Amino acid sequence: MLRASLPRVDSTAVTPELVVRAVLEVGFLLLVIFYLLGITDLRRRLWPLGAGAVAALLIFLGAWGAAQAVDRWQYDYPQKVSFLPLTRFAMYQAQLAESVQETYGWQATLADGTTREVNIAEEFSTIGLPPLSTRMRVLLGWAEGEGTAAESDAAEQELSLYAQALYSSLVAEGKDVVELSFNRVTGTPGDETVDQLRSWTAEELAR
Amino acid sequence: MTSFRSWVTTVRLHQGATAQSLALARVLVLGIWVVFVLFDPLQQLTHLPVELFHTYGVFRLLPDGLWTALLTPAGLLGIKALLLVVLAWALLGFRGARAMAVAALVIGLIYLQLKKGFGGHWDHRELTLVYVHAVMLLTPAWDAFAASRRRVPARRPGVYSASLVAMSLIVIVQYLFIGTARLFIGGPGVFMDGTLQNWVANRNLRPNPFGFDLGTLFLAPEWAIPLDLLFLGGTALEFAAVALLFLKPGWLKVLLAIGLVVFHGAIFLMMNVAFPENMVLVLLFFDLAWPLQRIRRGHDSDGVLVFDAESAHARAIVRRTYARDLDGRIRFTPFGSAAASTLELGDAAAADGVAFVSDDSVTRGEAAVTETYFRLPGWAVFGWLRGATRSGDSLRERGKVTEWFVGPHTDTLPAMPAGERILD
Repeated sequence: MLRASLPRVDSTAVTPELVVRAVLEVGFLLLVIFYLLGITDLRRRLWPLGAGAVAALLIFLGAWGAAQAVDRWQYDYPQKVSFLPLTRFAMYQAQLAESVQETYGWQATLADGTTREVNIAEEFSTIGLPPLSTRMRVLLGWAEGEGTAAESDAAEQELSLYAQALYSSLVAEGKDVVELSFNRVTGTPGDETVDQLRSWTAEELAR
Repeated sequence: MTSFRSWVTTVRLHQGATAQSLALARVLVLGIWVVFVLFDPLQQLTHLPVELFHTYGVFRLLPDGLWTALLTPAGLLGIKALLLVVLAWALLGFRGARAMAVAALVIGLIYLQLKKGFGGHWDHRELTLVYVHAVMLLTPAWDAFAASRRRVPARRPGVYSASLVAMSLIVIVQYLFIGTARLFIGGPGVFMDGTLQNWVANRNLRPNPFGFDLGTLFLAPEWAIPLDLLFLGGTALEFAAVALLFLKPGWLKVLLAIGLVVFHGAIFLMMNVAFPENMVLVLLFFDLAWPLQRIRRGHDSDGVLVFDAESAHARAIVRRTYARDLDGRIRFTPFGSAAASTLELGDAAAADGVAFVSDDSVTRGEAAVTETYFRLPGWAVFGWLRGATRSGDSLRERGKVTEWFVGPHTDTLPAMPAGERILD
């Protein structure tokens, strides 16, 4: 499915090309802002809010715009820099190879010997799919040995903790789980290839 | 004919918005929050070890003890209940609603951090709502449809319109930022070579809580180019959101809004990435009071309530109307006064008790009472809360606590109109 000629962008790399693109992006946004505030009657329309409220609004928009301009790490984990509650608004801005070539999956083996998919995005839907997937994607890469030794250790530890959480959730649902595994999933929907990367027994997971 | 220059420089969004338009936008924003929190399975977090929790941005400044305390079954239930209470308080507009809205924003951010702390990053799904909420705090959003309302102070002309433009601007800027990021960082490659199809395939492969597999129908090679074009079109739509500032109410504006909702809907159904809050926020581009204005059409102009000064019943109607006419839309004059003689009263006379004279019509008796009450602000339920259906000494029945929440009692013989409200 994935085409070899796709443009690839490393999520953390600040390349000269990215700098040029970012400068163009910011320049375009400044032009739009200049147009809206300097040429249209937007300022006049906002003025009845009062000087204080308009100033607060413009300061907020300025701060948000600054975060938009400089925040290039919002999809990283762990985040070294974060401007929250301001963040860069961007989705599907560039295709990361690791975000389309493979994905993750969890599987449980039950006491009756059957195996079933464990949908972590459903078990912990409160976290939200994009944040959870970002973390799982990074942990998948580390578990595959793409990171440093420290990152590999961190993946080991974090995946073990997520496995404990899933085990706890499944037990609360009345499932009799004897083993949980974290897997790399490749292929296309309906024709998946599942490779086990880590597994834990119920004894290891019971806290 | 409007010149092109005028078309692209005149902000037409929310021209003529009223206090009710803004108040309903407040109900929309806080209503989205309430639904979001109410149906959020926050208690799932009790299964997750606290070692997995990370704070981001300004939330790193808060003490670890706060998070440890909140990430307990009682803490999670407590913050959810507290957030729902302050949101409902601000939505319904009880006394201190603005302070409650500020509290809701702060607690809401902490609530979101609790959830996102177990993920890899904060996505912007809820942040647009947060930002619109924050901007709403700068506006007089409680001037209508609020359980507790004092008389509205004199506002600058156009303040409700300005408020709604400011709130809508956040939604527009969000789309502008996302479209610009995609075009300048990923373009043109991100719109070529089946890029979207790759994402669709991957998003249908990875675990998701919704289970839609519509996207799998579009994975054949012949769909690659149509999907690329759809992606380009969706991005163009994000840029086009800026035009919402300049469009008059009409089909073009409706089609653009529908396009944005369809774009979100397509991402949801094909890739299982949900942005329901943003889909509902598109309603901010419309005057939510329009249906009410439509219903009231022909019954909405300001007017004069003419009354029989000798009738206790007529005086009671006048007192109630004066007490609840917080927007000062109604003037009063007795039958036989000089002012009454200048009005076209038709067949109306003192024997009717009251008559209501407006640009729309002249009504008398019970019809006049209906016309009058039709112009009073607030919902029927709030009218009831304020004691609209009660009389006599219901102050004692209702109690001081209720009065504190919903404002001063108005049914224990409110004052007769005075000053410029009475026509001599």
